[in-house]
This record gives sequence, structure tokens and C-alpha cells, in this order.
Amino acid sequence: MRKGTVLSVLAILLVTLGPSSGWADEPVVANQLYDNGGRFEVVLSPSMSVVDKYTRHVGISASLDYFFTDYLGLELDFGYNFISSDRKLLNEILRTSTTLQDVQRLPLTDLKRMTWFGNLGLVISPLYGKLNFSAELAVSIHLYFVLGAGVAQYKYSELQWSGGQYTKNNVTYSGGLLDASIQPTFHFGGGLLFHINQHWRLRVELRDIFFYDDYDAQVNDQISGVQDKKITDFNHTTFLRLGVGYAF
Amino acid sequence: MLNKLTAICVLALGLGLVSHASAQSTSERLNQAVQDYNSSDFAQAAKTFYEVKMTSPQPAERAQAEYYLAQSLFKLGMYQSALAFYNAVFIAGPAHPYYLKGAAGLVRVAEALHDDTLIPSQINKYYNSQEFARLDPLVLSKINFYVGLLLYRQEKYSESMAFLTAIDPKSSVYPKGLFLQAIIHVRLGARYNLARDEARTQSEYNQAIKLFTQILDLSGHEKAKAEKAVATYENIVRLWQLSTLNLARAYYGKGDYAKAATYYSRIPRFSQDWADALFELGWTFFMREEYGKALGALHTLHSPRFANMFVPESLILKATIYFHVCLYQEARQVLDFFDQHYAKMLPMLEGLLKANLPNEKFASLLLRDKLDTSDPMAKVPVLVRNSLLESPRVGKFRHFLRSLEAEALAIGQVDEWKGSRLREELAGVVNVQRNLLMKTAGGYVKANLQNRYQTILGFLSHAKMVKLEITTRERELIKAGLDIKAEHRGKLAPRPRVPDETYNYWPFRQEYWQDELGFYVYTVRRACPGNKK
Amino acid sequence: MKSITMAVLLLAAPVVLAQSPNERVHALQKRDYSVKNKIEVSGFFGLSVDDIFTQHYSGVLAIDYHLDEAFALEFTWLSCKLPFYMGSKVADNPSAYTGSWFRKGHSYTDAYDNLKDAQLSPSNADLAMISNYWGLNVEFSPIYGKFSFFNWGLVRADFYVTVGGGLVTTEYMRPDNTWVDTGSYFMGNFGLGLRVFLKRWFAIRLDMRDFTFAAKVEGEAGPSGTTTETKIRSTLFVMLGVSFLFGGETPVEIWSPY
Repeated sequence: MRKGTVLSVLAILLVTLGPSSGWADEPVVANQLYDNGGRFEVVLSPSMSVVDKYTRHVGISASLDYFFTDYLGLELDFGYNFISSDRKLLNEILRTSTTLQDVQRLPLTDLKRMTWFGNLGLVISPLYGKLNFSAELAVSIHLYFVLGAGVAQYKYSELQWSGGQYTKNNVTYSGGLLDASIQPTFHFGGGLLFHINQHWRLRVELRDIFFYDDYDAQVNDQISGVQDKKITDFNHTTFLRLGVGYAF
Repeated sequence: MLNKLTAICVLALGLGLVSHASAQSTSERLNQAVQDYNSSDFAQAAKTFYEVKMTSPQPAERAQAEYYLAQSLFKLGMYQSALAFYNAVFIAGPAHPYYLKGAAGLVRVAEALHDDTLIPSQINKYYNSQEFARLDPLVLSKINFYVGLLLYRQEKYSESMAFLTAIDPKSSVYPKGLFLQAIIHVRLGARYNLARDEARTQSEYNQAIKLFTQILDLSGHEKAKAEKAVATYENIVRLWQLSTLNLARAYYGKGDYAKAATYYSRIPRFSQDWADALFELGWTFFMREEYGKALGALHTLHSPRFANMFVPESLILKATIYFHVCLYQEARQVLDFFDQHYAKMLPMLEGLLKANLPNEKFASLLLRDKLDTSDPMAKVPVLVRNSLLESPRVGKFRHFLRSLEAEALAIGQVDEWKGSRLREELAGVVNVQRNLLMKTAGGYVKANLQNRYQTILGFLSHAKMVKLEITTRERELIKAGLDIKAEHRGKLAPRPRVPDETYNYWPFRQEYWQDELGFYVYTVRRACPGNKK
Repeated sequence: MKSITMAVLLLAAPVVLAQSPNERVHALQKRDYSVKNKIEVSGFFGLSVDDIFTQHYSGVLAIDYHLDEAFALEFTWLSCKLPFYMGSKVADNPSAYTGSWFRKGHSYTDAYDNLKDAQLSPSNADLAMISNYWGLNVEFSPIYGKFSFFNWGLVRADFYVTVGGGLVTTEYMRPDNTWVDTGSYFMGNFGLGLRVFLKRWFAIRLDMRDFTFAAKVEGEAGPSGTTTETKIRSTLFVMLGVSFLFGGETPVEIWSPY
């Protein structure tokens, strides 16, 4: 659902912002004030995950971009999530269960949390424009999309028991580390780049990082006891990033 | 027409039966040619008509063959060749049985070749009002228009008016005739204005305005009627735009700058006349002392869109406006720009004009898309060349040349004419015309280069005068103990008032958005001494 | 942090790049797409994007009256289900209903199935879904903009914020696949959107709206019967639609003879 939703939103954006009119023989903007072509940009972005199911992330990322033209660039992106934990919702759900006795690895998708990542991506910037806030403050912008691959480390917490027998109140999902693997990832996203001057920019971006997960969780079927259960899924983490960039 | 032709041929054939042997032979051939013509075998028909024309002992047969030879060539798209024989029919005078048809043929060729110079000149030379009265009024109207245009170009305004006012209102060239009449009134208005004859100036401009308005009124000012007018009249959409532009000019000439600005603003953005309208709008706002708007109009004209336009006067106007608002540094910068971009061209233009090159050497500037580096015309600056290429006459020259080249090729490819005298004669006709065209086009280029040279030279002296004035004003500032830098002499005016929220405001930041062109306004520092506002 | 502060300050006071210190150049143009005094009828397809267990697919009808270029009043009807129809009553439980053909916009996500497989379940409040919403919004459009697409096509858009509230009906599905009507109550919403003009009378709209409501559902069964549990839920919708604009200022059509 999550991946479908994000893709839908991006598709909607792309369709919506398609050109309505144009003169094929003339450039729409001559002497473009902010042209990314041939420039580097370093970006520092605080980020937080949005639309997570059971996890939450707050972190920071640093990226170096090089734009071959105004429309196309390459990006190297590293990030670290200094908050990477589970949501309260998970505990609320666990309380409803009567069948978790001795289960340590929950058989749910999207449970893995990201600690750090490194990505290489392509940046495509089809739209250049400007916005005017109350006819007072005009700001030039680029709209861009990113697409690429990389690696990330994920943690997966085990279920810990505060008492012997299962009751509704003695189980917590407190995040004991069960797994800390490095996974190959893919990412896609898009955002707006607000030009402040020829060097400084602000960025607002939505980026989804995902990997294909295939691991053994556990279930307690109440007859044979705890057994392994294969979980396969695309594990998505979608970040909202607000960055400051310096271009040179 | 074909029935008539057949009847004539039958008659000719009948007459041939009682004639001697050779005449009989040409009659039969004439008849054969007519049959070929009727069956659309124009190449074979032309060949036979030519033979009859050259060999028939009977004047009537020769005359008939001559006219239908022209007709066959016209049908083959060989307009220059057709012209030679229509012309022969026409200059033979009313004694030629096809005299009037020959005249009509000339008009058709003029239209096909887009020629408004050579053929009209020929028609004018042999104009016969008594005989022409028998012509179809619509054909006669076209003749009158072409002759009127020719006389207008020769500045024989009253004679031109006589022809132009005789154009039938039902004719497709009626609005063109009205337009030329209006232009003549504008010219006369300007002439009387120079002579400081205010009453006659106003009278001429008023008549021009009336005529331009009459052209616009042909649209009925509603879409359905306008579409009908488009179907009836030649090039009427272009004429409507030109009438609007010239209405603005007429009001400007009268000194009614508010109305002039209204009409200039109606010229559609990005249209052919927009650059002219912007420049003249700049003058109009200047005359109204709306300097911010004047500079705004020029800002569009100096945008990358018009980077290759020859607009020396616009720089002088811009410098003059800066001078009027006491921004002397800015005025000087614009004049320096003028020196770097226009005055710099003078030595090269002078060299070309004084090199005693034959006219044909100048023609390549118009007629070739790419110039060899060895061609002297390759030295002509892009701005100047572009200014020449913008003229509608260039399009006509090019069309004419392409038409001649295509015709020369077509003559060589007609199998029926191989080894014939007809082919030889037609190739000669086309070649002569091509050489003549090269000379005429070259002469046109030379005259225009001379004109551009004089224009720049004229504005160079204007620029020097403005610079001198600036120096004087700056001295006065120093004497008065004021700072020479405008930054220290007054406040920047606030941004222009936005009429209401249905307007969008954007500050200009060195980038030119296509949709903003034409909507620029300047605000400048109030830097004149004593200007406290 | 220092760089963020600096960047924010620079954004707040951008340098106006003029030709010389003694002049400024401005572009002042009549809006190509004026909305003042226009009535706008919009149809959207909306989809919830941040719920974990529920997935809404909705049709939205919006009627706006634009007081001027910046402010508009909007009536909104968002529907995920045929209104005023609940399906068949379950014989032994008068508050439960069955039937699905009129409930095309309600569905549960893979995550819910995943939980069920693991014999877990979220609270009923997390399963509640919007059925129908009727409300009024105030829309404020302080930003206008334009974009070039690969420096070729030109797009003009207005950006707006919207806030409002109205009446909502919600439902949720029990583990036995019967549906429970939670009644009608107030729901507030706020959002952002943009309107891309393609013609003077036609635009494409993209809205993101967050609907917040107090989901009232059956709680756990206790000694004194089933309790009612209330949880504040917020659901973010992305809505893509088309709108048709009527009335307002009649533009001066430029046609020959100019």
C-alpha cells in the first residue's frame, strides 16, 4: 500500500505539473537566473520519516550533487537516523493478542528500522519556475525528482517479555536488537528547491528508500508452539527532508 | 472559355480549308495545339502554338497562337516564360485581338510571381483607360491597385490616388487600395508637419484615420463578419494589424499620444509588427512624460528575444529618457553601448559601399541563406542583414528567384521540347530575367546598406550631442554643490501601483520570462535637482 | 543550524536585482486566469495516504465561490460510500450491517491482513473509515506561480491553504466482517492545494487535506456491557481533480481586427 501510495502521489504531481501551453520555437525563460548546469551543491537535510507503519525515524543527511545540465544531475547521499525506534501503536496492537507466547520475531511487515544509509542517485529537474508570496516575495524554484540505489543498515527488534506467562499487560516491544543487517536499497522521490541567491538554496523533499526483505519471523499456532514463518515484502521508509544547500 | 476556344479553332479550320497549302498546314497544327491544350497536354500545346506563332503567314493565327502559348506556359507554372508572351500580346496594343486578355494575363503572372514592380511598371507604361474600361471590373481593379502602388513608390501621390480611388469595393484588393490611400495621407501629413502647416497636417491625418478605420470596419467588429471579410479580401488580417499600427502612428502624428498608445498596445504580442509597436510606444510614452512605461517598452525591445534586431534609435531614445530623468551615468552607459554595437559598424559599411562592387555582388545578402567567407556580403553585421531580411520585399525577391530557378529546371526537363527553338528561347528569357533580378536585388541591398549607414551616422551625431549635454549638466551639478552620483540625489520611486488583484506583479531579476515580455515598467530614482517627490 | 538561520534570513529579504542602483524593473501583467467572482465546480478522486490499516478511495464534489483572487468559500462533499444507505441489518445484532456494493471506497490494507494472519488486531478506532462528509471550507490563495517545463511549456498555478469543517459519517468493520455505523458528528480539516490553469474555464487541482475526527467505536466488552471508545484520528487525503469555472469577469477576446 505504502509504495503504491507514494508512487501515486508522484505520478499525480508529474501529471499535474505538466505543461499547459508553450511556444515550441522559443525558450520560455531567457537568461535564466538560477541555472544548475555545471555546478556542485552540498546539502544538509534534517529529516523525519512520515507515513511509517510501526517505526519512526529522525535523522540528518548530507549530500553532494553535481548537475551536468540544468535538468540532469548525479547525487551522492549519506544519512544517519539518530532516532530510529518503534511506534507506540505497535504496543497497542500487541495488547490485543492472545497468541504471542514465546514469539520473539513478530511476523509483521515493515518492522525494520533504518539506522544509516548511503545512496547514489540521478536527479532530474524538469521544471523551473517562480512563486510570488502575496505579490511581495518572489522566489525562484526548481522541481526535481531523484532515483537511485545504495545500501542501508536496518535493525529489527525482538519481542521482550517482562513476565513469564503472557498477559495483556506484561508484554512490551521494547526494541532489543535482533538483527542489524546491511541491505541493498533503492530510492525515489521528489522535491522543491528554493533559490535564495546564487549559492544558497532551501530544499523540501519527500524520498522513499526501500529494500526487498526476506526473513524468518515466528508464529505461535497454539498447537505446535512457536514456528518460523517466512516474511517477504518491500520494506519502505519515506522521509520528509528539509535541507539547506550551498551551490558552487 | 474552352468552348470559345474550340469555336475559334473550328472557324480557323474552316477558313484554312479555302486557303493555300502552307496556311492549311498551320491551321491544322493550330487545331491540333488547341486539342492538346483542351486535353491538358500543355507542353505539346505550347510547342505547337510556338511553331504556329513563328511560321503562320496569317496574323490572326499568329496572334491566337501567341496568346495561347502564354496560356499554356502559365498552366505549366512557367510564369516568367508566360510573361514574355502575355507582354508581347499586351504591348502590341488594342490592335491585337487578345490585348485585354493579355493584360489580364499579366495581372495573373504578377500575382503568381509576387511581382509588384516590373509588371505593374509595364502595365502603367501601356495603360489605356478607354480599352481597359472593357475589362472585367475586378481585373481592372487589380491593375489600378498595382499602378497605384507603383506611382506611390515613385511619390506621385495625386496620380496614385486617382488609380487607388477607382478600385471597385467588391474587388479583393479594395482594402489594400484604401490602405495605400491612407498611407499617402500620412505621408502628406508628415510633409505638411515639417512645413509647419498645422491645418493641413491635421486634415491629412484625419483623412488617414478615417480610411484606416474604414478598413477595420470591414470586419464588422464581430467574428462571423470578420471571417467573411477574410474570405473576400486579400491579406485582410495583415491589413487590419497594419491599419491598427498606422492608426497609432496617425494619432501620434496628430499629437494625440493617449490614443496612439491605445492603438500601439493593441498590436498583438509576438506578432510581426510588435517590435515596431514597442519602439514607437516608447516614443509615445516619452512624449507623455511617462518615462517608466517608455523604458519598460524599450526593455522588452532590448530583451534576448529581439537581440538580433537593428534598433539603433531605441538606444538613443533610452539615453534621452535617462537624460530627462537626470540619470546621467545610465545615459552614458547606453550611449557607450550604442558606440560598441552600432557606431563600430560604420567603417565596415563604408568600406563595402565605397568598394565599387557591381550590384549583383550585393544580391547574395538577400538571396543566399549561407554566405561564403569570400563573399564581401559575409562582412555585413548580422543586425544589419536581419534588418534587410525583415522587409516583405525580400520575401518577394526570394520567391521570384526560386520561381525562376524552378522554371529553368522545368524547361530543361520537358521531353517534348528537346532540341526545339522554344526551349532555347524560354531558357534565354528566364536567364535574362534572372540576371535582371540579381541586379535589382543587388541594387535594393546596396540602397538599404547605404540607408543603414546613414541611419547609424545620423544617430551617432545625436549620441554625441546627448553626451555633450550630459557633460554640461554634470558641470552644473558640481557647481550647485550636488553629488554627481544619482544614488545620492534622490529616492527611488516605489514600485508601480497594482491596479487591482487581477494583476500579477513580478520583480524583474535579469531573467526574461516569455509571458512577461511587453509588461515591463521601470521605476527610477528621482535624481533631478529640486525633485523632492 | 547557523546556515539554516542565514538561509531563512536571506529568503525573507531577497535582493532585488535591478539594472542599476537607480532603477528597478517590474513586470505588471493582467492575470491570464482570473478567478474573481467565479463559481468553480470541481470533481476529485481522493485517496488516503497515511492510514496504516484503512484505505479510502473517494469521490469529491467541491463548489467554490471566489470572493476575489485570494479568497474563496467552498462546499465539499466527500464520499467513500453511497450516503444514507447501510445495507442489510444482521438479525442478531441490530447495530451491524452487511453488504458491499455501495462501499467501494472502503478497504483495508495489506498491513491489516498481515496483522490478522498473525492473529493480532488494531483497535476498532484505527479501523474506522470516513463514509461521507459534507462541509464548508475557507480557501486562501496567497501564492501564485509559474513554471517552465524543460524551458519549453509554461504552466501557471495558484497555491492555496484551506480550512473548514462539517458533518461526517464513519463506519468500521468488525472481525466478523459486519459493518458498524458510528453515527454522524463534526469533522475538521485543513490542507494545501494548487490549481493549474489550462484554460480560463478549466483547471486541474491537486489537494492534500488532513481530515481529523473523533472515531467513536465499540470498546472492549466489560461486566457492564460493551463500552464506547473514542480516539482522535487524522487521515491525509491526496485529491486530484478537474474544475470548471463559470461567470466572473469576461475577458476581452483579442481577435482580428485587433
